[in-house]
Amino acid sequence: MSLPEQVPLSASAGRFIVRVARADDAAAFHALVIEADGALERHAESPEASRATLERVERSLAGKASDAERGYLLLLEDCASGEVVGCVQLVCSIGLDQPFYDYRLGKIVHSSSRLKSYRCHEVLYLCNDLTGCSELHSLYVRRDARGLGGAALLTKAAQLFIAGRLAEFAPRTIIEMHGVRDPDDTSPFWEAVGRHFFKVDQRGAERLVAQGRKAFIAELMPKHPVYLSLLPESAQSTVGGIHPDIAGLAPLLEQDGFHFENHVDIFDAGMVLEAHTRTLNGVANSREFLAGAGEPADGAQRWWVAAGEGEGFCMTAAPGSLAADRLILSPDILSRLGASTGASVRALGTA
Amino acid sequence: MLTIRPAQHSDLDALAETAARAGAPDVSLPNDPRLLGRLIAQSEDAFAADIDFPGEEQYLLVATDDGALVGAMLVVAAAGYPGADYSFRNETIIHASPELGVNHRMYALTLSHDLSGFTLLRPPLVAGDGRRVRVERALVQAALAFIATQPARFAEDLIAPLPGMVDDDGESPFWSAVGSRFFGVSYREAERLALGKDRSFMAELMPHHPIYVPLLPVGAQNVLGQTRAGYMPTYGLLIDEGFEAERYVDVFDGGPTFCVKRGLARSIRVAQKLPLAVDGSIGRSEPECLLANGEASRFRAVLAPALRRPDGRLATTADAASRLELIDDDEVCCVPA
Repeated sequence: MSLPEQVPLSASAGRFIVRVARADDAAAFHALVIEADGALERHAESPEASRATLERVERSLAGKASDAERGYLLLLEDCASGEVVGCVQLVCSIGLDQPFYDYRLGKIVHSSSRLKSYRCHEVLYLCNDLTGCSELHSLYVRRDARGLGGAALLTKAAQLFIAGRLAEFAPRTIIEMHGVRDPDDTSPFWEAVGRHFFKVDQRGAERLVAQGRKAFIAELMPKHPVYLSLLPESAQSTVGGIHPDIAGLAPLLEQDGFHFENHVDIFDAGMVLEAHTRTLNGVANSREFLAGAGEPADGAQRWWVAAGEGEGFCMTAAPGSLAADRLILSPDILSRLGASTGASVRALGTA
Repeated sequence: MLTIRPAQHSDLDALAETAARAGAPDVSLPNDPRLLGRLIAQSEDAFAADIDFPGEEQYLLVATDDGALVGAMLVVAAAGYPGADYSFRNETIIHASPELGVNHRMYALTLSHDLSGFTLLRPPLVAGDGRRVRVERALVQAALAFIATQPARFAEDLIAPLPGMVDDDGESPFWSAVGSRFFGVSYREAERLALGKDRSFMAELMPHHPIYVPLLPVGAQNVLGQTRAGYMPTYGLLIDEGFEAERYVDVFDGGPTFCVKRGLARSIRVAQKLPLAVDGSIGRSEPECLLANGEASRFRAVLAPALRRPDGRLATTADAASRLELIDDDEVCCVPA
């Protein structure tokens, strides 16, 4: 994940929609990967790679994807310009083709009553604990579109999308946060651990990740547990950390039910956030309504609201009034969502 | 004539003085007259006892020249007995990925009991530097001759740890990087405790999982398996004897622990048991050999001119024979130079 986002929700979020990517988005998505300059580290910077990603999405929407590859790409679109300015990817089950590795941060207590010594050591265990979980990754908003609530919109859209296809998603959903970097963009954790096992620099490792070879790299990582206390202080302090650029994102995700459960990334030791999929805010607290057209009252509640199934999924933030079992949205919003009066919409009230 | 024999109580003052002059660390002998006195008593008991298999015995040999004590060496029959001996085993792990074209060797230190029960040779302690190598070599050879002639008392494997490197302040970089993270005590205190009987704290406090060497600070990696400059002669001596130091290091300071199969130690391999012949013609022109009698409590060894005669007897001087408490035709153990 790489984007600064301090604005939970502002009226300006209404300038965006989030929709499912289609095959003809390949060029726009490729442009986004190039613009991200490495921040979308799971994606190779080639048009073919972007096309392949969208083909996977297509197969998934058509119900033709294998369990291992099933996943979706949601795009953030600027309604005014029609440009794609951000994205988030959803994977239904990770680690079913290549193993998914991360570190579990555990504890070992060494104590001696005779020496009156008591020491609690933190230890990193390489594990595949998160195999089979669903994952949100590649959450990204273009630099020139930041600070407008786009990231919040994308995370809520992902939850509403999951709510509509809950059977496809695992009981647990995770999201890896970028770890702490030095000003020169190197990770102290990588320097202290990974580098010794690969003899390649972090950029080199990231290129391999983009080529889908993360599991190969993981196989070179230390299989034995690593005592944190034996690592340099600079590396120890970054374990379970978050890149300052996305510090604002963590509270946002925590409000929606994500929390740290002692798993960290094997490369930069960044925090992995986990949630029970069914209790995610956008899953547990969203409701289905029939849409109605009208002008919501002044001061009407704002909603995260999604319409459409599968490839027709579209989502935005807008004011809406409840009338009986209908959610009254402005005709403009309805058309933006591609929904008509009487259509079913899924909505989550903003706090 | 350099003579080696079991330590006795009357050696206490001279031993204490030698240990004090050597100062820290207590790797050869405890620098504490009370502990030394106890050690001499234990050693006297060990030499005197009938032993069928190695146990808690500690054998303290002293070297004298013209009646003056010039060195000492401690042999522990079974390391760690009755508990376990702790060391780090330096293991090799290949990290390879044919897909990525990567193949390299990683090293990891694993806490091990492998050396438990092995016979442990402490580095010889020599008074003064003048003839240090000569005295050290004689002590090591005498200890090995004793082991060769009293095999039931010792294990099939021999180990010899040498102290690890310390910096100018006497701090061990290896201890700072590893041990200090696991113990709440200083290096000196840990060493003192480690020499004691109850080492259960080692199991309680030391890391159970392997430690990847490349993850340690460079300063700690650099001293791994290295001994202090002052012990380089001993290092060379052990290499000459066929000991190897690739596999095990000390858990506290990362110093090397030398290992050899008993039968492959040079002095044991080349030792010959021959009938003795006192021969007035033997003099300084003959090469010096280490000669030992096959006794236990009356163990004696000397560094004396000797010659294997065509009749298969070992000719040496009357002085050497008398120091060995042997007469003509008695069996003598000879370690050729």
